Amino acid sequence: MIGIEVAAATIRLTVPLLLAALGEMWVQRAGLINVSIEGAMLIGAFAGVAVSHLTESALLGLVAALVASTFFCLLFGLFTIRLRVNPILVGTALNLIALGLTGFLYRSLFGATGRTMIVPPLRSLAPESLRELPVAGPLLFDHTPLVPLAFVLVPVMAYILYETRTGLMVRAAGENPEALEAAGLSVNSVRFQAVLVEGVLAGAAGAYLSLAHAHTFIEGMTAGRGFLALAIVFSARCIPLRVLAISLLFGSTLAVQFQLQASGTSVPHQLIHMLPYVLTLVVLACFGRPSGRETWKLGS
Amino acid sequence: MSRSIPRVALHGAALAAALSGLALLLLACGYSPPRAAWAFFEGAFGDVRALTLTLLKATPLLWTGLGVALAFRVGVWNIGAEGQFYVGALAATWVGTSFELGFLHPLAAMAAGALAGLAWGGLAAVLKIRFGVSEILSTIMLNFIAIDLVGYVVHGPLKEVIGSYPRSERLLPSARLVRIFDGNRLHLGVLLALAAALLLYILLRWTRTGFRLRAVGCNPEAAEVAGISPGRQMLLGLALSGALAGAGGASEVQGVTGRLYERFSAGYGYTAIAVALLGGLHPGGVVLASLFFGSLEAGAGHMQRFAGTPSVMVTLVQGLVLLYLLATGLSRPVDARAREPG
Amino acid sequence: MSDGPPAVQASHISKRFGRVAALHDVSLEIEAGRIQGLLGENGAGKSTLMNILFGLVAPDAGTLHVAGELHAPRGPADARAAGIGMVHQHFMLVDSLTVAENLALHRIQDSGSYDRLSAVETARELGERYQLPIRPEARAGDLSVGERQWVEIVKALDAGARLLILDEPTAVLTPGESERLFLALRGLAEGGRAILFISHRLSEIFELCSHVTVLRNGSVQDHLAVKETDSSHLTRLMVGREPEPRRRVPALQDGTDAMAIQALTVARDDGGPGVEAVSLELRSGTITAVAGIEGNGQEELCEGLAGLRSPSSGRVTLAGLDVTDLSPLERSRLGLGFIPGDRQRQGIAGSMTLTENLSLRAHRRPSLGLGPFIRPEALQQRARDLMERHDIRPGDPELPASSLSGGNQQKLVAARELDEQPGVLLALNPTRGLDVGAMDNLHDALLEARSQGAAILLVSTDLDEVLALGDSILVLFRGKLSAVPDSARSRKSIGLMMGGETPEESRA
Repeated sequence: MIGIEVAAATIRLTVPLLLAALGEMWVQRAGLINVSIEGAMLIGAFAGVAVSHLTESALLGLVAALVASTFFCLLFGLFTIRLRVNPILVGTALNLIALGLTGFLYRSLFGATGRTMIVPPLRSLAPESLRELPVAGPLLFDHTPLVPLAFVLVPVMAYILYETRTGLMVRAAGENPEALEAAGLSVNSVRFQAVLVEGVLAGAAGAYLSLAHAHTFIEGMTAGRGFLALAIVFSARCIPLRVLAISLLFGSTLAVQFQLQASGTSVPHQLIHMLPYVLTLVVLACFGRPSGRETWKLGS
Repeated sequence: MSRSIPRVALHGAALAAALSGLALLLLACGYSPPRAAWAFFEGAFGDVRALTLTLLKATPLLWTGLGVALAFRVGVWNIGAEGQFYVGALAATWVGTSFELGFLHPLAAMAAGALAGLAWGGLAAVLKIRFGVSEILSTIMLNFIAIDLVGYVVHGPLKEVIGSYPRSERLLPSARLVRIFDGNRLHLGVLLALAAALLLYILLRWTRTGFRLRAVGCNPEAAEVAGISPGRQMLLGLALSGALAGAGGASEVQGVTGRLYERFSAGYGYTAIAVALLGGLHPGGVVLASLFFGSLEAGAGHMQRFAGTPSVMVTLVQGLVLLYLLATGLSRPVDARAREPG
Repeated sequence: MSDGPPAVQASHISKRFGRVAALHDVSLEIEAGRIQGLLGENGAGKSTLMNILFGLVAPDAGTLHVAGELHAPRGPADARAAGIGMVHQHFMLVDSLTVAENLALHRIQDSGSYDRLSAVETARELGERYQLPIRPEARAGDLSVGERQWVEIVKALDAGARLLILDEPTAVLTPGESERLFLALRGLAEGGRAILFISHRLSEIFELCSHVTVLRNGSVQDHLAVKETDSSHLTRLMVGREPEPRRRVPALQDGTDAMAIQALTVARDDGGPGVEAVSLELRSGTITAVAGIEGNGQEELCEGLAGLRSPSSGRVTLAGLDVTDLSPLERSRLGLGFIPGDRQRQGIAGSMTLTENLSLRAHRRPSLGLGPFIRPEALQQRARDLMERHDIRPGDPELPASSLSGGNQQKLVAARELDEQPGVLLALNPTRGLDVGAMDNLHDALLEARSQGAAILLVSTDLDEVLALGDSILVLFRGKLSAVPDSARSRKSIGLMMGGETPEESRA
């Protein structure tokens, strides 16, 4: 059964990475890099928990997560697109703000009084009979709706990117913004729309972490998953199917990491905990463009 | 951004917006803004103790801020001062607890910290230059790895023998950085950090090496055409940047905490980015900026004790300060110097 | 021709950028069915005028009328709606999209729906309608420069352009492609469209245009019918003085081998072949000039020789030593200098001062420092001397290099390289974008270096420059070098070789 457990865990752990990576892919296709996707996920995770705790509705929590994260990403858009500030620096600032704000609010509203946050979890929509099926149950049906959504989004976004006018505009905005302007279209508005898309997806990723996975909020609970999503997009070079493949690779690494920790192995858990980060470096090094001339130019 | 708005008005508006936003946030969460503000100033500047604390909190920010400033001047996005700070502290702890080196001990531990940071930064540089891995990502990943590494050693190899806390043994007294004044916590690391700022200034301004580092930061392609190897300068810049942050970790262990524990850094490496930018990537500016951010840290701690506001608020304030710098274009020349990625 | 109002009328247009008056009281009429030339040196204001017509820049004073109606475009979209189409010097195509997708991107505002198959069909129809040979399913990045231009023209016509503006369209074309373009433009004019053809080449104005307007320093010098003028008159209007014919000084006869290139192959950035199995010898005291259309391997050749790209095979020897695997620095120590093709990107560090830019190589000299330290005042003194000798203006060595004009930036790069007294000097398009005065300066500097015994490799897309300076001439086409025999040393036969034909064929 360990195989099925790991497989099911892989799916669970892939979903937030995949959602975030698809959002980041969209933004990078439009010509921006958003490092603060980490902060957006954290904001989403917190807003989801806070609102579902207050309203006792997981669905409202999810909606709040999407709205909060989208608002946060719009802030990123405002600074990078409207004010033309360097995206890496804006992203770093926004990450600090997200970490500080969620930590402050969490301790002020919940932590100080010692109330535990009880959150109604997001549940699977599948009937119990399907969820209890052997093998297929845990793998296919015992998931929140965000899970199928994430996987369905891969072909959907690929279709939009390659076959529709929206996709055409997004690709042009990223690759040759002057050409887009020359066609009488606004690069800024295409990029703002892309940032909106990322906001929604990052919010969904954050909500998944807190509402569907942990059922509570922990300070800094994204623990670098936004950065992992960034690494996925870099190494997948913004190609949707590769984003899926590399997300699954990272998800399975996280699953193996948790499985190892749970199995009580003698390997210290901090070392196991490093695994996804080390893997990221290895994957980036392998998929990073081959070293030939002027490698210092590459990869930034 | 509109150039027609007078700069003073712009700064005033941004500052007022940030401050009133904070005040509203405090009010909404049930705190008293005036009380919090008073506690903050008392904690940062109220008396000798408070000023000492500000200086102490500024020191790790100065080390890491200098490191980040150097990397940005060479056009490398070192987001990894945090990890370099961690490995520096780890190496210094190892040397400081495991050997008996007499009067050379403080120096040896410090050097070990700097070397570890140098290696950590150098690793990111090699990944960039040899394998084309963006240093933005590799340094972030190396941060997480370094934090886990420290977590591992304080649970394992360097864990204290007596007692069950996940922390290292106390450093041997011979390895500690001496205090500058009797009865005051200021330690030699504060002066060493200031000396590092001076050395960095000399390096960048007066040496052939510094000239090459700056040239690559301004335009790597033109530098390469003129016979300056961007890869080599970036390696050097990132390694030295890591060494500064690593020395900062060593200075913190040897001068302040005396031991290593999990989550040792309070995000100094990330705050360092704001410090470097506020300081205009200039060593002298970084000194002033680190004092400012040090006072934030000192004041926030006091605020938590006397106004009940969570000290994590300081992270929020730091983020806002950085955003403010970016929005008002105060960091614009810096922005141009630290080249756009891609 | 037509009695109605002119297709486009610009009246008393003025535009300043800071202290510089880019255009001063410029008026221009373009009639439908006519090909109007706009002649002027780089920096004369041609691009500004064009950008005003196209809505990219707003004039400070003056009005525009299109077909008699006031036209005040707030952006390219307005200009396009008024029937003004522009073919940019830098093509506005998205490389990873196909031709059909690029065309669809352009009509996206008008058409509600989009799908890939009908986009291909539309592109095919457009190509047939305007009789321009486009390949709908090819990726834009894979097209030749000429093919990209067809796509740009189709794009403009498809947007309903009644006036077509072409900005130096032939700079990147082979003579054959240019002729084909002219044919197409004449057809379009006969169909009733107005065409504004911007150029600084007299021969093209005479070949194509019926009327010409000459701009100098932002002011109109004259409007002329081409039939009623001649090239020396036009030159005088454009430059302000009669150009002196350059006397050819014979090269040193007993030059030694300074650099030998054997079967050098260098890849492009995308992995394709840049130059293939190129062999060449550079002799001291001689200028070896390489002609060719842009994108045929010029950059790869120069950067391969300078050590900026590693060759996939072949050998380079410099001063008798094998330098194939040496770094740019080691090569420069053996006497190699390089004036790169893109001075903004590779030549200068814009935010550094003139002193610092001039010191990029020289900061290593022991005499300018002490051990590991530099002596800023020594560097500054040297910079002052160099700036005076090479007439770099303004003369303040502490200004940032980005504040200089293009010509002075190029002088700065040349001064830096020549001061190292290189035995071999590579120069890639050294006079691109410079006005006649700055061009002369640079040519003088190259000839001066030659007379001091430098072996110079001049790689240029400017055929006039190649003919004026080259002691021996070669042509680079699709990464292959072929020598031009002295008997074929003419614009026509070199032009044919630049298009891939052999000189034998050209004489036949």
